[in-house]
Amino acid sequence: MAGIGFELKKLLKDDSWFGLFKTYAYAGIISSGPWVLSILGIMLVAVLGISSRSTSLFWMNEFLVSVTWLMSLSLILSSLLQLIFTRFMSDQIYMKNKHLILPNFMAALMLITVLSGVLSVLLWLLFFQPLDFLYNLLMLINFVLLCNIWMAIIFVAGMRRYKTIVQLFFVTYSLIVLLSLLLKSSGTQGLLLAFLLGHVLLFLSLLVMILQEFTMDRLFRFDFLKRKNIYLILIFIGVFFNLGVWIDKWIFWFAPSTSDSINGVLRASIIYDLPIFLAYLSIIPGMASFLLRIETDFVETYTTYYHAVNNSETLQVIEEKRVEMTQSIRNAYFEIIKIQGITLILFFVMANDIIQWLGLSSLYLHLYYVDLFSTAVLVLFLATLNIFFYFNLLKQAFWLSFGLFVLNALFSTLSIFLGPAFYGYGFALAIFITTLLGMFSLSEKINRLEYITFMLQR
Amino acid sequence: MPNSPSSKKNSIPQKADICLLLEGSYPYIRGGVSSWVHQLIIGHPNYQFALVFIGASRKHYKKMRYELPENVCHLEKHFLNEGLELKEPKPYPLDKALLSDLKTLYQLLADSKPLPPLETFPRINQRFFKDESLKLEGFFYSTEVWDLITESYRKNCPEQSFSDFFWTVRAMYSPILNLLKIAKGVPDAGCYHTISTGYAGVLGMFLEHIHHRPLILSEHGIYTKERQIDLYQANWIKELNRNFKAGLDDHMSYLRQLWMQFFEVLGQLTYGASTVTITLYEQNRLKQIELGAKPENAIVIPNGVKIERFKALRARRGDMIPPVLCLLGRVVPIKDIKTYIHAIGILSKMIPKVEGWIVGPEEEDETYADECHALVKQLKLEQQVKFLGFQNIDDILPKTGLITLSSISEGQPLVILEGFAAGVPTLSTDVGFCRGMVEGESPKDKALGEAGLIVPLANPYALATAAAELLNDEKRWYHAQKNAMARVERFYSEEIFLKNYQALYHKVLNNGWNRV
Repeated sequence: MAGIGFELKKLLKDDSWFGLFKTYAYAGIISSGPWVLSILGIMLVAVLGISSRSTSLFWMNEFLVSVTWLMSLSLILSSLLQLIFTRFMSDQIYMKNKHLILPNFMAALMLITVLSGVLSVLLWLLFFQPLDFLYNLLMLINFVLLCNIWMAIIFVAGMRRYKTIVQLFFVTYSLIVLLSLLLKSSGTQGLLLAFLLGHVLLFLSLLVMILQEFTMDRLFRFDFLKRKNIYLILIFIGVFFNLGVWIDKWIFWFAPSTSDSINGVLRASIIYDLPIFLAYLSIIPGMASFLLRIETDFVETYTTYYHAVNNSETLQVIEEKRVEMTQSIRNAYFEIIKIQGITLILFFVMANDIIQWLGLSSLYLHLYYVDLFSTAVLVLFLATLNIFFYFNLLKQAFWLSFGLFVLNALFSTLSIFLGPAFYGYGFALAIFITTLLGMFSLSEKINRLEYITFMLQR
Repeated sequence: MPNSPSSKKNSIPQKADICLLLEGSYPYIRGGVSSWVHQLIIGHPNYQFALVFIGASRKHYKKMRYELPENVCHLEKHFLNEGLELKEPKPYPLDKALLSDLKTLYQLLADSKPLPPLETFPRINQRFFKDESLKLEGFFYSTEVWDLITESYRKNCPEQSFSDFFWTVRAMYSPILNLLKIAKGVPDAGCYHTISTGYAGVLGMFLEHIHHRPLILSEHGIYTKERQIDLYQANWIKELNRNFKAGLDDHMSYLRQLWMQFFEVLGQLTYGASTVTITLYEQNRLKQIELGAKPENAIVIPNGVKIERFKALRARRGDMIPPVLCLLGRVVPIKDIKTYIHAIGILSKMIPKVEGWIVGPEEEDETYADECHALVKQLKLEQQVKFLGFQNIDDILPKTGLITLSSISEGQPLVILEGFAAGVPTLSTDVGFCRGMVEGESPKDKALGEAGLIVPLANPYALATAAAELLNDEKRWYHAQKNAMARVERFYSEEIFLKNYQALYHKVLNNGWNRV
C-alpha cells in the first residue's frame, strides 16, 4: 500500500547540508584593509614628494588633506556594496555559477560609478563652487576612480591574491611618487594628477587580473541586487566598520577647537591627524602575521572541523576537531599579540626619534603613544571580525562594527571636551572595549559551536 | 500559507460526516488503497466526506488521479517537508516544565511502555492543543532540545555518525509537530477515519483529542510491518562496520532500530486513540493486536468488488485459456517483479507460447523499473514479458489466463477479487490474505474449493510449475474458475463490503465514541 514513510529523511538531509564554504571567500576581505595600504601610500608621497618638510604646517598641505578626504569618503561609500558583492561572489562560486560573477562585477562597477559620480557632482554644486575648476575636476575623477578601485581590490582579495595586491600598490605608489616629483611644480593640481595617473594604472592592472580569472557571456548582470541575494546586514557591517574607523577623524576635523580650514571647504586637524596616520604604519607586521596564521593554520583546522561535521564523524571527533580549531584561533591571537607587541615596543622606543625626524613638535609624542596602542588593538579587532565572518556570525560582526562606530563617536567627542590631554583616548577606548567584547563573544560562540552549527540552521 | 485548504468547487463549507485522513494515497496516487477509498465514498452517498491528504513533498503529488465524487465537500492537502514556516534561527527558549513532561513521554516511548492518555500530561495538553501561541521554534532552535539530543546520542550510540543521528531525530519529530499544526486547522467532522496508522494515524489521534470525535482506523496492509520491510531494504541508513558484526541485532544499526521503533510508536498511538480498528482479514487483525490494538475494538471487514461489472467480462473471454500471466500492480520492489520475470523465463521452456503482462505504473521507483527492464533483456524474454503500463482492466482481464502476484507483501489485493469476478483464477505468493481468498477462509468458504494456487515467495521455479499445472490442465483451470466466481459472489461483493461500513458508520456517528 501507499504511504509516505520516510522520503522525509532523505529530503531533510539534502536541504540541511551546511553551507560552510559560502562564507569562506569573503572572510579575508576586511583584513586586507585597503585603507592601511592607502595611508602608507599617502605618507610616502607626502614624505618624498613634497619638498619643504621643515614645519608642521607642511602636513596641512592641501594635497594631503584632499587625498585623505578622498580616501575616507570613497571607502565609506564603496562599503555600501563591498560586502554584499563579495558575499554574492562566494555564493556563486559555491553554487558553481562562476560565469555570473564577472558580468555582475561589471554591473557593480557601473553602479558605484554612478553613485559616486552623482554624489561628487552634488558636493561640487553645494560646497566646492568657490574652488578652482581643475582642482574640482581632478577631485571628482579621483573620487570615482578610488571607489572603483576599492570594489576591484576586494574582488581580487576574494581571489586570495594578497601578495599581488601588495605588489601592485608598491608599483603604483612608486609611480605616484615619481610623477609627483615631476608634477609638483604645478601645486596641488599637479600632485592630484600624479595621484590620478598612478591609480589609473592600479585599476587597469586589477581589471586585467580579474579578466584573466573570469569569463563573461554578457557585459552586465544585476543578479547581485536581487533581494534573495542580498544580505542587508552585510551593508550595515561594511558601512559601520568604515564609519567606525573614520568617525573620530571627522569629529576632530569639524570641532572648531581642533581643526582648521585648508582651502575653504576641506578641513583638517593638525593635532590629531598626523600621529594617528603615523601610528597606522605600525600595523603592518601584525596584519601580515595575522593573515598568515588565518590563511594557513586556522583555515586548515576550520576545514577539518566542518569535514568532521558533514562527513559522518562521531560527536566526540567533532568536538576534538573543534578544540583543535579553537587552539589554532588562540595561536593566531597570541601570534598577533606577540608580533604587534614587539612592534609596539620598537615604535615606542623610536617614537621620539620619528617625531623629531619628521620635524614635528614633541607635543605629539603622547598622542602618538596612545595611537600606537589603538592601532595595535585594531589588529585584534580585525582578526575577531574576520573570524566572525568565517563562522557566518554576521550579527556579532554587526554589533562589533556598530559598537566601534558608536563608542568611537561618543568617546572622541567626549575627549574634545575634556581637553588636549585626552585626545586619542576616545578611539583607544572604543577599539579596546569593542575588541574585548568581540573576543569574549567569539569565545562564547565557539564553545557551543556544534549547537550553532546543527540547531541554528534553516 | 502554502497548505491552505482548497475546498472543492468553491462549495459552501459544510460540516462533513466523515473526514478521511489519507497518507500518500487518494486522490493523488493510483493503487489498491486509493480505489478502495473511491469505492467507499461513492458507496456512501448519504454521507458528506472531507478529505485530508498528507504527502511528504509537493512534487510527488501534482495531479489528481481520481475525479472526486459529489459527496466530497472538502479537500485539503499538506506536505510534511514544508509548512512549518519557522522563523529565522536564533536561540529560542523552551518551557522547562513542558520539557520535563516531554522527557517523561519520550522515556515511556523509548521503553515501549503503553502510553497513558494525553490528559494525564496537563501541561502538554494545555500547551500543545489549547495554547494558540505555542512557538514551534523552541523545538528546533533551543539549547534545551540540543542537550536532549546530544544526551540521547551519548547514551545510545556515541559511535554513530552524529550528523546522521541528529538529522534522523529531526526527521522524526518535525513531521509530528507539523501534524500538530495541521490538526489545528482541520475542520470538525462527525468522525475521523484514517486509512493507515503512521503519520495519518497520528493526525487522527490529534484530531480525536482536539475535537473529541471518534476515530476509525482502517488498515489494508499493516503500516508498521511495511515500514519495517522498507527499513530492512533502505540503503540510506549507514551501517557501521557491517562485515564485522554478527547476529541480527548487532547487524542492524541503531538508527535503523530507531526508525522501526518510531513507526511502531506511531502505530501504538493510532491504535490507542481509535474507537474501532478495521482490517481486511483475521491474520492482520491479530497483527494489529500484537502491535497495540485493543482486541475488543479490532474487527474484520473484507474488501468487495462490483460483481455485475466484472460478470460482463466473462462473456468476452475466448474459447481457449489464454497462456497469459498478468501481474496487475505498480512496478516496485515489494511486488517482487524480478521473481515474476524469472518465473516467466522458466515457464517459457515448459509452455513456449506463454506471455507475462506487467500492467501498472513504473514511475514510482524508476531505478527498480529500469532493473526489471534490464533483467528482461538479459533473459532474452522481450517476446514473452510485456510492460503495458496503465491499462483499462476491462480490456486486460478477458485476455488473462491467470492473475499472478509475486509480491512479498500484500493485504487483500482487489485484483484477485476482480479477476475472480471476471472469471480468472489466481496464482499468488503466500502473503497477506491471498491464501484465504484462493483456498477459502471459513469452513463453508473452504468447501467451495480452490480458486487458483498459492506458492512460496521469492521462488520463481515454484511459481512457474504452479502456473504450468493450471494452464496445462484444462479441467483443473475451469474448476478453479468456477470456484473463483462462486467465492467472490458469495463473500466478497461490494454490496457486503458497503453494508458492513454502512453499519459501522451508522453506529459510530450515532453513539459518539461509545462502544461500537
